[in-house]
Amino acid sequence: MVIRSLIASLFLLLPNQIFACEGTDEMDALFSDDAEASPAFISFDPPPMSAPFRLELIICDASLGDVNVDALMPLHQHGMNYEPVVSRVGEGRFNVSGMVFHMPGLWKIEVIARRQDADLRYWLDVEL
Amino acid sequence: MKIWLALLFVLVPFSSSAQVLLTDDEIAQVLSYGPWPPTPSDDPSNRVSGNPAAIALGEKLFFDPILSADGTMACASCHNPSNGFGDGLPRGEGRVQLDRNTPTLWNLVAHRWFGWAGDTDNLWAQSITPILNPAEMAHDADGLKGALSASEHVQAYQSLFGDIDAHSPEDALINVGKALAAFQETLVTGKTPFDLFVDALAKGDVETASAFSQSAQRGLKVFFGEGRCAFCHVGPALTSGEFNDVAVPYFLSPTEVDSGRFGGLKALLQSPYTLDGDYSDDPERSEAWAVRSVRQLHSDFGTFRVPSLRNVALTAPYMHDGSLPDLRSVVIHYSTIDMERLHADGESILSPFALTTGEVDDLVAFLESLTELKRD
Repeated sequence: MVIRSLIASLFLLLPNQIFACEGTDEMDALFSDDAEASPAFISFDPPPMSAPFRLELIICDASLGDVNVDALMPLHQHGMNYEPVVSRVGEGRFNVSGMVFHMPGLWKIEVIARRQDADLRYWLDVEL
Repeated sequence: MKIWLALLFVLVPFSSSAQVLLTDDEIAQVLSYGPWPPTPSDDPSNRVSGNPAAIALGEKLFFDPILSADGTMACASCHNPSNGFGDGLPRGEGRVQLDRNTPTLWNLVAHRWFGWAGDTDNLWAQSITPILNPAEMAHDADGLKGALSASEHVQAYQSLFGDIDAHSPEDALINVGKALAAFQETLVTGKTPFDLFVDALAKGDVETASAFSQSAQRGLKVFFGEGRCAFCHVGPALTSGEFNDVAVPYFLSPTEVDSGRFGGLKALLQSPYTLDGDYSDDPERSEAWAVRSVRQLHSDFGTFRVPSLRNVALTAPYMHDGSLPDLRSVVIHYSTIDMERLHADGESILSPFALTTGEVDDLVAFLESLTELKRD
């Protein structure tokens, strides 16, 4: 009983990100300006022009609340015309549908993952 | 002898050999503009899409003024096949002068949104919009059902849709819209000189590709480059299908404005005739994602749908208000664009690019190469 209690206490002392988390070979690592941000990965087929596409997202953090995904064209100063839908499909795993890039050029995908203490912000540049 | 040969060398012009003028990057970009025409596919929201009997009925209705309350105006009154399915006027003439240019009906299958402001997300809903508009055909569902019941079309209607007496006026109205849509879906333009160029490049046939006008190729380079046309006029239909501000004034009078997409979205989201509504025949609502997720943005104000450029040389005048009479004036409008007139919040896509006269000619030549070749 004492030994079991000691082992249980050790688990409580471990950091939140205790689940095995890594992207697959097909996934790109997302960038973050926050050095403390957990690793995050994204994958999608080459986006079609002005048609909906999906992406798969992994964020290696078990304490996430809502996750928002959006995109903009930094050089044109406009975003997408449609609201993507983010669905949680597992711990730290999300499917995003309804992404539409309606112009060729540089797009910046932005991910904001809410946590109790602070939001995690990630991004990835995509050339269409 | 030497003098004659020297004169011959000087006086006889060298024939400029035709060639492909595009860089490898430009060739990769131009391949995204094909293939054309698209593979036909039926609209799942319209149960008579692709149905030959519906297409035939739709064509007859298109030319029949019974679709207007007083029997004087047919769809073809404004969408005249001899006029590029437009009317050649700056602004449409219904019962009063309308606010916008009459758009062509070619290649509607390639669109996601319809009308200059995208008030509708499907062709059958767009088809009934002018029927009900008091400024256009000024009908109502009851009157239309009555006119249809008394017409020569009633048997064809009933063969497709069932006993008209068992239908509500609204059902009859929607069915008319779906027959009209089935017909308009067939209005797809054929190959153009530009398509032959794209096809040849796709096959690596440089000799055939080189036959594409050198002037049009130079114009294409402007289209991709400093003209920035290719940001909005993308893909085989040469349109993103979305909405932009191109510095064309949206004032209708000193006190009235055309809100464009901003107002169009309000109309769309209040309409019972969308792809997400009860009148869609698609149980999966597979294309309803757009109306469900479209964003209403302040920057939509005064923006208008990017038209396709296929057959553009045949659909003058141009822009949502028909204010530009010919292609040359369109090119010069963009070339000398007034940045003060651009009003979309901070959007930064267009800028003046000051073409020379020769470059204007080349870009016009490219746009003219988007005219379909005569069919046999």
